[in-house]
Amino acid sequence: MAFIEKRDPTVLNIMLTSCGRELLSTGNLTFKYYAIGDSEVDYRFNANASTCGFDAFDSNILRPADKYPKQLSFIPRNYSGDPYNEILTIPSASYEIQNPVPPIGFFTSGATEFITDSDHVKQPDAMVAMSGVSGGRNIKLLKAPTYGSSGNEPARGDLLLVKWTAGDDTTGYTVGVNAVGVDYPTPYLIYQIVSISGGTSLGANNLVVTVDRDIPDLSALSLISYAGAMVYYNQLTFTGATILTDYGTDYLDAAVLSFLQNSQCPTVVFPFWNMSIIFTEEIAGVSGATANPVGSDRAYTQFNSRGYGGFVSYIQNQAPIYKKLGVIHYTNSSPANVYGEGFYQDTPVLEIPTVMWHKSLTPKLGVTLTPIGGIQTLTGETVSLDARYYDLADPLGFVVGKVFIDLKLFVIEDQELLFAMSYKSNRSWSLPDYTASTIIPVPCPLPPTGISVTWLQPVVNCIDFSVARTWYCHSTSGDWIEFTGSKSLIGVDQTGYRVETCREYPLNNSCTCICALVVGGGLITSTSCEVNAPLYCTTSHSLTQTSSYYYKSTIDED
Amino acid sequence: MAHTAFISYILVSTGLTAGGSGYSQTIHCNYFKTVDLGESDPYIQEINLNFPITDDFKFLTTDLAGGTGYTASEIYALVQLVNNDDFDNEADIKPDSSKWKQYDITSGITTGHVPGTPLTGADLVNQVFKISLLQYNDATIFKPYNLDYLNYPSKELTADDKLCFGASTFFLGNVTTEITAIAYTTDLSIDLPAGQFNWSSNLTWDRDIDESVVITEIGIYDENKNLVGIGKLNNPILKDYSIARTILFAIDF
Repeated sequence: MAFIEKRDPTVLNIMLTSCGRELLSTGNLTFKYYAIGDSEVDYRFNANASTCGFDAFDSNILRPADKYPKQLSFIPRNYSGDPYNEILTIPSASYEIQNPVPPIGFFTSGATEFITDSDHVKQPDAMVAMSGVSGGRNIKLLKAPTYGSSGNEPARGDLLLVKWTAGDDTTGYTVGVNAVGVDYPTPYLIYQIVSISGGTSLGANNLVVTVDRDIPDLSALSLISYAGAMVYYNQLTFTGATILTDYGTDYLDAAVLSFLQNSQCPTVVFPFWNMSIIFTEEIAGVSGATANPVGSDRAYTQFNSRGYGGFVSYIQNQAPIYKKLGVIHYTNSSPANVYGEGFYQDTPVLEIPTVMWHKSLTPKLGVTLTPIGGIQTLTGETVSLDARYYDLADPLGFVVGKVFIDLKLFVIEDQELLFAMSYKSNRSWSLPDYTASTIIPVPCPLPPTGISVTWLQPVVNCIDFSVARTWYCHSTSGDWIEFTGSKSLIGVDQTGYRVETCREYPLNNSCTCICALVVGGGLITSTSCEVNAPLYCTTSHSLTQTSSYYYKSTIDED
Repeated sequence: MAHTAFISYILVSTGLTAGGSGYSQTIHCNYFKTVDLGESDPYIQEINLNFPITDDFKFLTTDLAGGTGYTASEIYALVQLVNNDDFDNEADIKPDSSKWKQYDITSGITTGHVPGTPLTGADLVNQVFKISLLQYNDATIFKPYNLDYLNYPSKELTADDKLCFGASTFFLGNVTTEITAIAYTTDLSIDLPAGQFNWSSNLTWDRDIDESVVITEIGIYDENKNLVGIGKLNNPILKDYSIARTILFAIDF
C-alpha cells in the first residue's frame, strides 16, 4: 500500500476489510458491487436534536475498522430495491508522490562533524598520543579532552577508528582538524580490537589494546600531537548494548511482531546505512600455501559478506564483469519504510567524508557522489534485470558506480574506491590508475632520437658456457647485424643486443654483464660498465646446441 | 602458446625503509590490467607501466611531518604471467591469487629520486616504468607476493580476531535523498441522481416523516456479496429528491 491522498469533491478513502485482504492474499479479490449506507444514523435523534440547532452533518462517524462487521442499513437506488449496485468499470490511476528524508549516517548534515550519540558510536572520546606511535599492534588509548559523555569501555571485537596525524591534533568531532576541516586530509583507519593487552580502562587513562594489524611507526618524527579515536560496536558479533542488540527477538523490537498481526507498525529508524563489500574472487596475495589451504578462513568464501554473494551476479544480469562490488544498503531489522518505494529521480547523494579520493579536484578529505546523466535501465545480453539506475559519479564526473533508485541502494564498482573503503586495506586513500602495455623488442620498434650507445662484449661468469656470436640492431637497421668486439652506435635509439652462447649446463647460476655506454652523454649510472641486466638461461640444452638471448637496452633515451 | 600478463602495483610505505617513519604498509592498487603477450616468448617481452595523470598523486607527500597525506618510498609492480593454454576459453583466463610476484621498479625513476626517501607524484608520473620479464622466474628479483603485511587472519585465530576484507559492515558516510512512491488508485465515481437513493432501510428512518437520507458509508462487495472494502465519510451528507450528488471513492494500492 502506498500513500493516501485526500481529494475533493466528496471523496471516500476505502480500506480493505479483513475479508478483502484475505481474498487479496489468495488472488480472489474483486470489486463487483457497491452499497451506500447510513448505518450510524439515528434519524429520530437527528429530528429531535434539530430543534436545538443540530444538523445531521455534524454527526461523528467512526473510522472504518479492519474487521468491519457489516453495513446495518442501506440507501438503495429505489425504495425496497436491491442495495447492491453493480460496479460496471474499475478505472485505475496512478500518481507519484515525493517526500524529503533527513540525511542518515554517521555525520551531521554536510558531513563536517561526527555524530557522537550512543546510537552511532560506542565511545567517541578517545585519543592516541602520537609520541608513542612506533609500530607494532598495540595502541595506548587515552581520554580525549571531550571525554565524559560516554563511559563505555572499548572491548575485544570492537572497531577502533583512529584519525592518524603527523601534524595537528585530530581530536574532537570535526572531520579533519578543527580550524582547517577537510583541508587537512589524514588517514582515517579502522582497526579491530583483538584483545585488551594492558592497563585497566580508558576511564583510568591507561588502556592498551591490541589491534588486528600494524599501526604506523612515526617515532622518528618526535611528534607531540594527539590523534582522535572513536570506538564503534562490531555489528558482526553484536556485542554491546546498543540499538543493534537491545531486543531479544529476531525483530528489532518485540512489538514489531504486532505489525504482522494487527497492521500496527512500531518502528525504529536505523541511524546509518550498511556497507557490504562483496568478494566473489580471491584477493591478490592470498596464498594457497600450507598455512592457508583452500577453504581456510582467509578465502573469500569465508568472508562475512558471502551472504550477499549472489547479489554480485544479480546486479550484473547474471553475467558479472566486476567480481568485487561494494553495496551501500539500508538492510536492518526494522520494518520502517524510511525510503518509501524508491529514491526520487536523481536526488540521492552519497557522502564519504573520510577518504582521500585521488580524483578529487583539490587535496581535500572526502568525496561526494551524485547521480550523473540520464536514467538508465540495467540490461544484459542474455537476461535483464531492467532495474532503473543512474551512474554514480564524483564531482568531476568520474563514474564510480551506480545508484539504483527503485532498489534503494548504491553499488560501488570502482575497485580502488572499494579498497579505500575497506577497513582491512589499511588505507583510506585510493591509488591512481595507470596504463600498461607490452613491447616485443624484435625488431627494434622505435625511431632514433639521436643518442649514442656502445655495445661491449659481455662478460660471462658462468663456467659452463661462453659467448659464440653477438649482434646489434636499432630502429633503422632492418635486421640483426653481427659484430665482434665493441660496437658504437651514434644517432640511434632503442638499440638491441643479442648474444648467442654455447653452453653445457642449464641452470640459472650466472649473472652475465651486458654493457652499454652512452657516448657523449656520460655513463648511465657508474664509472664502470653498466650492468643493465643479467643474462639467464631460459631453457635446457644439450652440449652441442646454442641458444639466442635477446636484450633490449634499458636506456630510456626519451 | 599464448600468455597473458596481469599487472598492478604497490607503493611501499616510508616506514618500511631504512630508519624511515611512516604509515604501515597498505594494500596494493586494486586496478588490475591485462596485457596480452601473444604467441611470442613472454620472457623476452617488456611491460611498460605509466601513470598518465599528473594530479592523481595529490595526497602523496614527501613531508609527513607536515601533517597531511601519506608517504611511500618505493614502488613495486605486481606481475603474474598466465599460460592461456591452461584455460578452456579466453573469458576464463585469470590470475591465481597465490602466484603474484612483486618486482621493484623504483630504480626506473629518472627524476633523481634518492633510494629510501619519500616519493613525489612527479617521480611517478613523468616516466615509463619498464618491467622486463626476462627474469620472471628468478624469485630473488620477482619476489613472491602475499598479504602477510596486513596480518591477514589465519584459522588458528578466534572469531573476534578475524578482520577480513568482507568484514566492513557499516558505511562510514551519509546518505541523503528524496523519496518517492507511486500511488495506484481505483477511483470509482458514483452518480446519485436527484430521483434515486432517497430511501433507507435504516430502522429509524420513516418514509412518512423523513424527506431525506443521510449517507455515512459505502461498502464494496465482491461477486459473493462479501464486504471487502469499507469507506466512511468524515461527515455525513444529505440526499433528497432535490439533490443530485457525485461521490468519488478511491482505493489506494
